[in-house]
Amino acid sequence: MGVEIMHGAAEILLVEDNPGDVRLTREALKEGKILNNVSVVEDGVEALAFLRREGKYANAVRPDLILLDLNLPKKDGREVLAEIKVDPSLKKIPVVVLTTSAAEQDILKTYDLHANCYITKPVDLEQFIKIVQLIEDFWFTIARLPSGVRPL
Amino acid sequence: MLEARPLATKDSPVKIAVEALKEFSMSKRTRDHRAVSEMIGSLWTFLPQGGSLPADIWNKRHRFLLGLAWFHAVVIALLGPLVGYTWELSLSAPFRDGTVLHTVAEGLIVAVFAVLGSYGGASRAVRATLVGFGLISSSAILVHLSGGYIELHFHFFVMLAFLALYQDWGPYILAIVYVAIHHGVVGVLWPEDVYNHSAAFNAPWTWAGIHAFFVLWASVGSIIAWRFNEAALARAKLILDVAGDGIYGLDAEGKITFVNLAAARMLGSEVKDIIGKPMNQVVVQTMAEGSPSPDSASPILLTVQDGTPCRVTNEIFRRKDGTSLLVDYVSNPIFERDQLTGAVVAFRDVTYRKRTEEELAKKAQELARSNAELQHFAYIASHDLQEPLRMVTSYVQLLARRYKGKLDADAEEFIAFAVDGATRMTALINALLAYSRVETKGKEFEPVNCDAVVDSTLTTLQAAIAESKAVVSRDPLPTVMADATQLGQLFQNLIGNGIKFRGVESPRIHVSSERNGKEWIFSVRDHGIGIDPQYADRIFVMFQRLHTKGQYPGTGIGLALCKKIVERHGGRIWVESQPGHGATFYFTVPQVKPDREEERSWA
Repeated sequence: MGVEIMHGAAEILLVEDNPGDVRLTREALKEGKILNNVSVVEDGVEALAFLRREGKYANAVRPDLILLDLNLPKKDGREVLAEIKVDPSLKKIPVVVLTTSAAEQDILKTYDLHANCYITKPVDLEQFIKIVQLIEDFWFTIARLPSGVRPL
Repeated sequence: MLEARPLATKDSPVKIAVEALKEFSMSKRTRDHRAVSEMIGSLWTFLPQGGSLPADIWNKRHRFLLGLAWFHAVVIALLGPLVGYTWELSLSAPFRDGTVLHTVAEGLIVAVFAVLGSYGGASRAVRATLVGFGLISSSAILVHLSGGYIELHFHFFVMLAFLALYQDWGPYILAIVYVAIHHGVVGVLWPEDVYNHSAAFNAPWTWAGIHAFFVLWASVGSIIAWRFNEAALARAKLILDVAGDGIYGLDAEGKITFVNLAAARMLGSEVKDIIGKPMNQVVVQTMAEGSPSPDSASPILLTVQDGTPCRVTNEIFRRKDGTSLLVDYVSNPIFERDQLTGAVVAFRDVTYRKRTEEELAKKAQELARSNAELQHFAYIASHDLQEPLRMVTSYVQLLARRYKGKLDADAEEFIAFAVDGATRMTALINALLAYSRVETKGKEFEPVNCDAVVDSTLTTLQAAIAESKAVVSRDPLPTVMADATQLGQLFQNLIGNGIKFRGVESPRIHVSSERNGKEWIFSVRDHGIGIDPQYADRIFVMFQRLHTKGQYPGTGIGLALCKKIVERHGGRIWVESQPGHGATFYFTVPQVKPDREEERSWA
């Protein structure tokens, strides 16, 4: 836990258009072990603006982890993923695709676009909470990320 | 359609005579005479009708006999100079024996008949009779020139033999009547011009009768041969005419030599209007874009020219009235003693078949499209239905979690029902999704080891097996051509059902297989509650359930899914059971993929 405390709260960007899912994810993260700060954007265009600190996001914090839904208005998750992964300043941020789809072609496509992992949202609440917490746990306590990803 | 028809409609003199005889006999109302009339009737049906030779064959024979007549005309004309007759030139010379002009005049008589017989406007019977007149006359002339030399009378019989080629009554009647009248009249006036013996000189008409009788007798023999020949031809023609396909023949110049009724009907013409015409006047083949094909492009004419047989499908034949028909045809060369003499073409109107094929293809296409749409719809629907459902489930659960202990018993129960409903809905949607994926997401068939599939299914069902203390056993299973994932789903559903519908004892389930001809029969046997045989078919229909959800939970899709999977693999599924005595589910899998060649065996 020491690492997180040194860096302050873990910054998470949630790209999700369904308020129900946003709330659920927030609830799950609230129950998590790690102090975190969740920013939410509702479509792909907003997501990229947030990451590039454009317009109203000029003061946005650079996230440590992106939770990305695939089916989004304006610009869908696959396009957002593709743009993140070709942008040298963004591509090191881990992107976890969190979606309802269990379709084989979606899984293939997102890994082709260099997603860091693909997770299908479970229907059961207990399962969902468990999985969100596992994501948080894995990326912030188990996995080692390059230092300097996030400005100190 | 098949009843025998008279071969010619024209009334021949013989027919008239026979009819008259019949009339005569019928007028005597006695049994004997009726018997005679019946005899004459059967004689009449035996007699050949004439006029049955195909035009091309008749024409060929006619040309030959014309040639024979001309040959006689020339030989007779040349006899005078050859024998050394006098070159006397006077008006009376042609009428006197021993002059060159006389033989020339006799030759001319034969030549006149040859010329008349060549006239195409006359009927076949008339032309045959004219040529017959020429040939029989040449016999009479030769007898006369020889001075009644009796052996030259053989010449009449030679001519009669040749005239048999016409297969018609005219030449026979002519020959008999000619000999009777000629021998009688000339025998009376100039006996030495026909006979060379005194018996004949004394009774010319008796001897004319004797000669005519032999001509008649020879004719009878020849007519019998003709009759059998005609019967054979009639049978061939009958076969041609009852054939459903159009058949016509061509000679080496591409002219139509014969045509059957079906061909004439399909080409919108009469048989007689087609025979003898060049094919391209009757049948116009059309190029794909509608313009008439040049003769050089016609495979049929190619067959006529170099003997190449051909088979053509979906060709357009245009009738003379401009309408057209779509045909398949074959064209085969006719070889006579290695000599290409023409072709036979058989064609079939495929307009109706083509239309049916097109309609069928269209329907199949529509069906495939609507099927694909439906599959897509089912997939999308089940997919997009998940989203709101997850919201319902999650938030009801969140409610229960957050307010645990703060709500009364009713509220807890309502929440439990809501969660249960949503959970079942999810199971239903997942089952529907699986069902719709059987076709859309099915994989190529490959050799699948069923032992491994069943073993991995048991791993998946581990929790249920442990919970129910089930004993699942299996015999060694074969390798079959299948989609391994779907085969796994199949076994999982069947074994899962065996566990679910257990009786009071812990479930015992056995999986086995046996070979039955070209397929494998798999069976999954349990000792559970069984099924009333009257429901044996219903259980495979989607959403058909035999129990309340309280007794045995489930979506009502499992066995429908099993059926769909088995059917995709080209097999059948059924159940044998008695209530209370367990159930055995059987399904078959072909030993090879249905559309692969038979030789491949994966057993």
